[in-house]
Amino acid sequence: MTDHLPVYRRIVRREMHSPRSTPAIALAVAIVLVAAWVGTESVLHYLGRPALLVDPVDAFDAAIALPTAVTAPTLIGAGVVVALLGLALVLLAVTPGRRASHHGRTGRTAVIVGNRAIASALARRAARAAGVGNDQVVVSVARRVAEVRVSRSSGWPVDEQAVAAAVQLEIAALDVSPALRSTVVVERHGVVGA
Amino acid sequence: MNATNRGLNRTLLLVVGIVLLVVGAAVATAAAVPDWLAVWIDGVASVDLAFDPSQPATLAIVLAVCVVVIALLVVFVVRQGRGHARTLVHRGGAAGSVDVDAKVAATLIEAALADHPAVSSVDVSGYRVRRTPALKIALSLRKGSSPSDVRVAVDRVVERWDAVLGSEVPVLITID
Repeated sequence: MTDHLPVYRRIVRREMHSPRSTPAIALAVAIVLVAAWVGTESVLHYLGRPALLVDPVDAFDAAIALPTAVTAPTLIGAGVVVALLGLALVLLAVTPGRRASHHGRTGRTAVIVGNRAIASALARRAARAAGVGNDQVVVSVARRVAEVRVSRSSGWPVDEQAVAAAVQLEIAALDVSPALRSTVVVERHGVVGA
Repeated sequence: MNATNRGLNRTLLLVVGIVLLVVGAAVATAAAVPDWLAVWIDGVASVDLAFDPSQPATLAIVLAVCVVVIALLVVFVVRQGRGHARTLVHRGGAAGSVDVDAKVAATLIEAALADHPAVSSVDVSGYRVRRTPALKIALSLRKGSSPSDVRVAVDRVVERWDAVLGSEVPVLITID
């Protein structure tokens, strides 16, 4: 099915990144509300009716008077707040927005696995290899590293190499990219009564 | 897998972000530097002379700009998330044509995967990616189950579906 490869490449690239729909829609709705309000006030002013909140002519005069009517510290504070809001939007626009997931090898199908699903599978494997309960293993999966932390039961040794081998086997079976490197840490202090 | 125009989303965020950043920074620095504050006060005074907001023509222009902005942004919001496809395969001939609805695929594949011990939920939906119909199989797994085992099982179900359909549509599996 090589003819589907461009489609798969596009799908996987898109699914691995955020579409930025939520902030874009929120911003659009905010602008629509402001524009609707300004438009309504303009019509009300034209009809000679009382304004909803602020008459547009008063608003214009207030904007003209802004540098003289408001104290400098207030202006600086307001300016900084607006600039930071703008910076946040710029960062949303230019950062890649990677989702916490990895993609598998494309064959007949393409596959995307969430980092939580990977962590959950590695934890089960590690717990079995270590001979401990599932709640004694904590796995965190980042873009390139999977970290497995095993807290051993008091008095029972944990075969660290067996755990590492089991984790490695599962990672090899997943065969995801970006490729995952694993580190296994067995906590020194045992858990009593676990 | 939808056809959301991501470039447009980012462009809106970028343009509005730059405007707010520049205006906010300009206000803050002008208020902090006395010489710049004088420039600002002179500048708005000349705008005040040149521009009369109580004129009906001015109000009409403001209203028109507001209406255009609202119309464009409403279209922008409504167009988010498009790209779902109802028809998966269309075959036409002299004797007539056959459309296979994506719901057929959804029902069959969901039924085949619902009994898998590792799968807690399945959702199958049809999309159109670059004019190619495609399927998305979204799976949630039970805690601790292996995504690679599930993928093998799903691939087998997809191959059976290929045989039923008589052609291979692109399939994306998402595992969470």
